[in-house]
Amino acid sequence: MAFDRRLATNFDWGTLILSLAIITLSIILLYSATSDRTEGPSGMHVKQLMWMGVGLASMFVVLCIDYQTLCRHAYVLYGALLVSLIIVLLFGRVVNGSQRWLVLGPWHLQTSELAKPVLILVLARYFTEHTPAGTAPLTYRDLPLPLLLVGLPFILIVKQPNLSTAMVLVVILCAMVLIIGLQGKTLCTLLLLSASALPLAWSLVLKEYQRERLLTLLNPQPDLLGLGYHSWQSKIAIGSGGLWGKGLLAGTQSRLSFLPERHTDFIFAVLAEEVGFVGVVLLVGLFGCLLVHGFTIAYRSRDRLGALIATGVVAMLAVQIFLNIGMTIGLVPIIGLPLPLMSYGGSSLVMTFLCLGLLMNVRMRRFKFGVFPS
Amino acid sequence: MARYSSLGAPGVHDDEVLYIQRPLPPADEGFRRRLWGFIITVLIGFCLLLGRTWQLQVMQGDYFLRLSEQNRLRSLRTKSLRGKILDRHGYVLADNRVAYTLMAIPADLPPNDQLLPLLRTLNIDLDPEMLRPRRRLAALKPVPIQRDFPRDQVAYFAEHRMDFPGMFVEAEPLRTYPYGTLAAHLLGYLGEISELQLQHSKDLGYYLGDLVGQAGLEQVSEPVLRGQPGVRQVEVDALGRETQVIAARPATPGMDLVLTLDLQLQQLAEQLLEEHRGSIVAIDPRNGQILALASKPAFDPNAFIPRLAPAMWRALSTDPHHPLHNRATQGQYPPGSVFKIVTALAALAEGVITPQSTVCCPGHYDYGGRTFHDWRPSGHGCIQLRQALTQSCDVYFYHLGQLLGIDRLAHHANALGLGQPTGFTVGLEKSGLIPSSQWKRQALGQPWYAGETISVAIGQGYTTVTPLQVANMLATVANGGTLYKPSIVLRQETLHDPAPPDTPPTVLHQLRVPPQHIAAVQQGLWSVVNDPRGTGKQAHHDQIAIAGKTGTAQAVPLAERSRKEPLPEQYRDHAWFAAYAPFEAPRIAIVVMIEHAGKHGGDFAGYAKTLIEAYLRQSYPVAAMPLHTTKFTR
Repeated sequence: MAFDRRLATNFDWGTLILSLAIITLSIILLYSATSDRTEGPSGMHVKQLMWMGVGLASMFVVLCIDYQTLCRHAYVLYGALLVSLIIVLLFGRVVNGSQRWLVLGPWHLQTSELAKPVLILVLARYFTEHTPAGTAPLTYRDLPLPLLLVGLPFILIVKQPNLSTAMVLVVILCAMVLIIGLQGKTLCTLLLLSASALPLAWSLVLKEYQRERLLTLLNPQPDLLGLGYHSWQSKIAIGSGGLWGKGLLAGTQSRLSFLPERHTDFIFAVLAEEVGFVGVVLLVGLFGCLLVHGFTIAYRSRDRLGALIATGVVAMLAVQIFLNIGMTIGLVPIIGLPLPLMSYGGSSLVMTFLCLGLLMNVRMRRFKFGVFPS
Repeated sequence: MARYSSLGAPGVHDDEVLYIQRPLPPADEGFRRRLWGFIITVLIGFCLLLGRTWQLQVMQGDYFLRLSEQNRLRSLRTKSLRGKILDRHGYVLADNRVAYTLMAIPADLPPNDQLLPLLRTLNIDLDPEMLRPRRRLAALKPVPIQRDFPRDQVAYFAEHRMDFPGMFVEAEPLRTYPYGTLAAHLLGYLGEISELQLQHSKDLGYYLGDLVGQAGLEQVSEPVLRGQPGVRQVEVDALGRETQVIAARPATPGMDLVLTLDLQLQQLAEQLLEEHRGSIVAIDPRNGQILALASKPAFDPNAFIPRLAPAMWRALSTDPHHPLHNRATQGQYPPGSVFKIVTALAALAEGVITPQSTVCCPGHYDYGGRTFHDWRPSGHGCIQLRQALTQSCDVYFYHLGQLLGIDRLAHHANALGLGQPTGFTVGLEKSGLIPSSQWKRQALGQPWYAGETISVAIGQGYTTVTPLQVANMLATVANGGTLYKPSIVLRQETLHDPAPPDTPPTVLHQLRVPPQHIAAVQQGLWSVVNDPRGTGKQAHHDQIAIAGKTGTAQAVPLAERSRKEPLPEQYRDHAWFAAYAPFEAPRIAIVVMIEHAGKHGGDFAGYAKTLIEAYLRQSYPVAAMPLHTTKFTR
């Protein structure tokens, strides 16, 4: 499909500028969090910049292809995703006890990240095809197939194990279902069912360390040197930042390694410690703008397909942001979930850009273009 | 091309207009409403995040700032270098050597299941619970895991440092005693501070695992030897590694103790005692300074550093000969004939005899229907005081005892420092026993029988003394009647004050006995060594005028002895020989005491002669070579 030059006039600058602003903050913090007092910067921020380049490039590729075209191939992409997840399970590299990484030459890919955009496309297509506008709310009869679509990658990802990424997939599904509308009766039944399934999940699905993390959340104080350590050190880091922060390169909690995973999952704590509440407001504000912007894209999209894609992206970003920050400030249990655009890590960053690409895609094509008679 | 149903009305293609906006049709109002609900939910979530962060950062910011500073800052103590102990000529008796100690900050240690294999790789078998302090704050104070960490392990540890979080190696001076067992009872030893000691010395900055003096001078002079520990405030990372020093106050090293001891005299004394159990005490009669204080068998204080092996402790504490026991100050023995010096002085002072009074000795003394024998069955004939001392005539002193009565005798014995601690500060000192009628009433509830005085007069019966008391008593007689407090520390040297004046002697008591009476006793003591009939003639020296007194003390009453020959060891007599020299201006008083020797005191007079000669001429048959010389320099 030829690229219509008129699309450029509708380019979504809002998403691009907001995401670039956030990633600039991320690069600065990575530079600060990973540079050693004696050995200087670690170079991680440069690597992240390279990943940003890769991310932007893939974002523009996604941008150029009409999302309708993308959705037409959604099931092909879905098939490819399942294959890659199986390959990872069979041949993947084990890091920290999880088999998540696919080694492609010098690149280590976390293919589970790809599941997020692919599932957004697949679910958007499925729901658009099966529940056209104006139809009655979804009932339990409409749910088995979407559940299956999510269930396959979910199980493969849980197997790795990477429960938190798998949960994000479920959140995407829920968001879409709720937006389309669910019959009141079905909603109640589902809520009751999941409530009764909780004890089962507790004993069967959750692993020992996950259960302990949940318990620690309820009462982190008694075991500050054991399981509660990470959560407690993160809270100390954030709290000690105060209103204005300790200054860049001056965070003691992060730079003296009291803070675990400071450049990945706990980058928010670094921000809070070094730039203080002011920096937190800035970041949360930027994220908020990005999500509201995404919401308007969904609200004003050309068709239901675009609206669902945008909703999926916004839901995915929102839940990751909420859970990640919530975990560092002790609102939710410690889960291995990166902060979009902020945490160090190529796969996550490229995936986020892919999803933002989808968002911009929808935004750019919200206008109907006249078709010249051929 | 599949056409997806759009939310808008069916597409109306308008060729004139390039593009038109196609917002969602009003038909799907519910979709929009839910979208609103969705974004509002998200924003509420964000407000929750901001609210919580506000609470942590702004409302509790100061609290968490304090916590982060606590995380980051550690006050580490720098130990002070323990002072050395030297003899009066500067030979080092207790020194410091370089040793490596594996330390841990309990708070930074990994959990036990990870710690145990880590310790195993270092060949340390230890219950990790031992490293967990009971109080939470104490978890930040470093504790030693293993002292005297072998050098090859130190090298391994240094290479793999990152694998051992919370642990570090510290170069630490450890105590060493270059002469091994020499003067072990005097020097004492170090041991890890006990919980109880820790409680009692709260403000002194001791940590669990510190080595402190647990016996001897090391214990008594702990505050002096230890010095003042310094403090370093450092910034550490989460693994407890120091990243920078923020403030520091250096430690003040402990003072060096210069003893009154003469190393070579001590060495010679211990060599003479090597075959025996017993003690030798040498004292300067002019000031009460201890020149030698030997007790055998002894122990090697090096075995206590850094920690005494349990098997070693069992061996030491169950040894029937009690090597940890300092016989010179804690051994209480009947003095035997050495006590006749006291009886003679008492009799002269009380005026019951003059030096010229004559007593005839038929070889036995009858009193109250009981016969007391002289050691020589044929008797000593009619003799005066001088010959009575020279030949150690028992009957003469039985007679004096009878004339004096127990209480007057006891009074003078006490005046000479017997029956009470001498005031020597190192280690627990026993007081011995000088019986009196009052003592017997109180202790046994019985009246004193005059016949009992007869035994006491020759240093038997209830009477017991320590070798140090006898040495001090003899020194008092030798110097003409001044009882000094025995002293061991000559001076305390510091870097700032390398040559302070010597500690002045302490006079405990001045004898109220006319000088001519003391002289009469001194004459008798001279004859003991220099008269051909003297019991101590083995101590006779051609150039040096030595005076002395022998003693052969029954360890158990005669009646309890079996008739068997040879006597079992525990029934054999104790041998005493006390001497001083030079006779005219005494500079050394010496007591040789051999437990259950089975020989006469006179048989050991040669020991005293050897020691006196070596000391007065300062020429010793052995060189003062320490066992090893690794030093920890300041």
